[in-house]
Amino acid sequence: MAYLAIKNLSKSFQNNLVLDHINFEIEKGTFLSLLGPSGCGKTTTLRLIAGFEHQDEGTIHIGGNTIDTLPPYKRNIGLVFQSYALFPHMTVGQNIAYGLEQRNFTKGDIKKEVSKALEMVQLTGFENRKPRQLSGGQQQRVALARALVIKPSLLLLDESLSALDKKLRVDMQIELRQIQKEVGITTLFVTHDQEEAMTLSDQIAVMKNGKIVQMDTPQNIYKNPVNSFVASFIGQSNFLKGRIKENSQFVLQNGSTFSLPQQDYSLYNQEEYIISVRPEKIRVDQTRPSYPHIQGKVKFVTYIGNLSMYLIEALGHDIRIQQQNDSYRDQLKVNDEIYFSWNASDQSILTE
Amino acid sequence: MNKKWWLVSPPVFLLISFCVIPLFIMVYYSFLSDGTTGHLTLQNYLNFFQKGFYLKLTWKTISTSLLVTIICILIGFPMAYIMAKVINSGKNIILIAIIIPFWTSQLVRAYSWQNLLRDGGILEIILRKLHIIGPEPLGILFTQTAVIIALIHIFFPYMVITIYMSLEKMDTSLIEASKSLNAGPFTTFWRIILPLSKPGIISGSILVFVPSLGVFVEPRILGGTEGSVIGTVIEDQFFEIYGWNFGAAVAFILLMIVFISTTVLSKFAKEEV
Amino acid sequence: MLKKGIAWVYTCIIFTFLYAPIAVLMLMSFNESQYNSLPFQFSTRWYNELANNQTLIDSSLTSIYVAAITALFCVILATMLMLWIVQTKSPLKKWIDSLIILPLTIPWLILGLSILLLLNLLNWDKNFYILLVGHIIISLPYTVMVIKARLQSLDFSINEASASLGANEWTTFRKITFPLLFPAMLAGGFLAFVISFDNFILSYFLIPSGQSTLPIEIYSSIKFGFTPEINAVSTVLLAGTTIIIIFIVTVMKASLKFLFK
Repeated sequence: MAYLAIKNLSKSFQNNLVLDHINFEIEKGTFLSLLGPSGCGKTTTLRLIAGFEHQDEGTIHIGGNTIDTLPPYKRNIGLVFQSYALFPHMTVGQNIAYGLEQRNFTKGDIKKEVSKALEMVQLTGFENRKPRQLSGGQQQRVALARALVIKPSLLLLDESLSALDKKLRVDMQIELRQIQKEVGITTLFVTHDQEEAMTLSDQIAVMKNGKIVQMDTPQNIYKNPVNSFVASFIGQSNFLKGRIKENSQFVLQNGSTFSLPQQDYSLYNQEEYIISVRPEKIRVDQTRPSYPHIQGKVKFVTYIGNLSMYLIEALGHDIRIQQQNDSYRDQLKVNDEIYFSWNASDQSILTE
Repeated sequence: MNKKWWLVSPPVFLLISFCVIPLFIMVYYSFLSDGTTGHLTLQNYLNFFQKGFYLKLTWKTISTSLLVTIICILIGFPMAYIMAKVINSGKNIILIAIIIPFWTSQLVRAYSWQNLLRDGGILEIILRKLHIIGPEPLGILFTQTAVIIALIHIFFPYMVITIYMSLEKMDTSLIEASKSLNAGPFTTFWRIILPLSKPGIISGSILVFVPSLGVFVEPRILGGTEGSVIGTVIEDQFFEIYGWNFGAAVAFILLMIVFISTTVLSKFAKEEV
Repeated sequence: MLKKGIAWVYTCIIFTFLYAPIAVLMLMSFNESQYNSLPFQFSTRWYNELANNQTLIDSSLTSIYVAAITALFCVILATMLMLWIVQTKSPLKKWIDSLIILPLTIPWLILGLSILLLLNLLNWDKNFYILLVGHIIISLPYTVMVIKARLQSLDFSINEASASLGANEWTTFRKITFPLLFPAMLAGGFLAFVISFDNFILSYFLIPSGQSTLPIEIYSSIKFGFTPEINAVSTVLLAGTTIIIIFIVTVMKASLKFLFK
């Protein structure tokens, strides 16, 4: 069995099924993100593992043992809360020492462990400050040190970076990932921020309506989303809904037709498909090319420094295209007539 | 894990046994003819409603409370507005200064007015020195006026603080926006400030009107023979005449007036905004 | 500038109205004359008489005793209630919330007489315990409001943080909740003390015969005749209350709101 194994976990609140028989396993040392919109069940999963709620069905195993019957204070799980939940009446040192005191460490050992933990999060010398005297990023580090100092079997992070401003968040992401690798601790990170999940994780589990929709490495999820929800939740994508006819023709719901890139489509024999193409995978030509393409007109241009985003009107749809601003490529202008296309390997053919 | 009934049951038991159940017992008594031994009857209520005296007293109680409430709004609103929007410094000190008399004994405060208002008292002497009154006595103590003054004094802080809290929440830029749209001070007050402070005025009114209905100490101390209200009738029935059943009926009628006015006023507060 | 001037004048008028009667009362407590008459002649005569008035001293001691026990019970009961309320998901929560503020919405006159009728129905004599219960019931909502205001300002996840670090519920209460709640418990206790100590109406209905509290003594003195010691004892009372209220406000400086409704 894997290090952390969740089996058939279910939970309802007031007849409202928030977690619907989820299953997943991860190996020791893995950084897994539970990613999804609010209400998808990710926080419930975390609270069940921490023991603050009790599941209706299913089991949780850590290191081969079930923890289902243990109260939260016997689970030995480190937690970093969204609000950090530092004890406001205690100093930084006392906050970090708290978990060790519960484990009956001697005074000397506590002192040693606390200063080691502070060193790890680069806050040496802050022992005697009160939490309110620290910046958001520093509070975050104290919370992390407090959770890690007890040598937990699992680290849970609940939207832990979302309270920080953007620049600090990126710094903290890198630092968090470094510490996590150094300690080698199995980590579960709950977030609704796909960028954060992509940056930090070994694995991402995308959740929706109490179920795991897809669980894989960030690269695979981005490249091969299983459905349009995942494709739109992780990054941006263009969706074209319609039928695939013989000789690679695609008929959209509004009746317009275009040729798909060269590929064998004989297996796609259902009524309806969604073609998903990422904006940065679309190729633009200003003269009509020889390969299958679609014709369109530039409606709107957004310049974002190294990139440009274009909104193209084609086939009665709005298509987003993203291009690098290179010196050899001219920027498109509004009302330019263009021809665009993509490679078969860059499209996902989805059923929902 | 969240059950923990042992935390909540002692206080709940206490409140049900000594607050809720006694109210039902009061209702029960109000339908008895005599003590606990009498038979069930409507006589206590008939006595109340058939005598013009009690109906007049009821109306007097309600109108006095209404008058007190209106005066509290009229003098309380400017005070609240000054605290919320005009002055910048010393706000907290003013707030505390308004709170302090509020928490001191109601009895002592009523008594202090007796000192001030009586004939030959300090107010009379000052007014005479200022030639506002002639040699005749002041004649305020032991009238309805004295009761109203004391009630305003007692409940005024409620009004100021609730209006203050609603004005404090109001964004000052709204007033500026109104002025920038060429509205004069009167229009700004009438169209912007007043509607937005309505919830505060109404909850302040509940806090002034409802307790004014049930007073009996102030009318007793300051109203003399003129001071009778529902509260004093109830006190008489329990401490002088020993007509407990009738007293219970009057108390129940008072309770109903309290509930109805609270409900109606809260409805007002919920409308709009 | 003119606006500010008018504002200060108005404020002064209001404060004259609020404080004049109290000031006159305090002044008169130092006046030699038995009939509060002028001219003013400084004297501590009434305070000396107060010190020798055994009835007033006894009733004051009773009031302090009742108020102290009331405060203690209110703090304990309010803390229990609030610890339950903040973490419960019970559908009963709404009902219990309105049950707690019920004594605030009913005139004390009615509460007092209905408890008296309960005693009458059960054929019990008026006794000290019932008096205490009455005082606890009317003071409890205020203590609850103070403690609730504090609990709501605390981040509930610190309790969960404590649990995740290995502390059981009792340790969490002892080391986290209690120290953070303590100022509010103190303030709430003093508030209950003030309310109980000043309360006249409940005591009036429920006091066992032969006993008396300070407000009852004051009331009967006012009603039945003129005793200038009342000025002195009221001054002491006002001073005591003011000190306690200032103390509460300082302890709970974060929010003054709880002192109302």
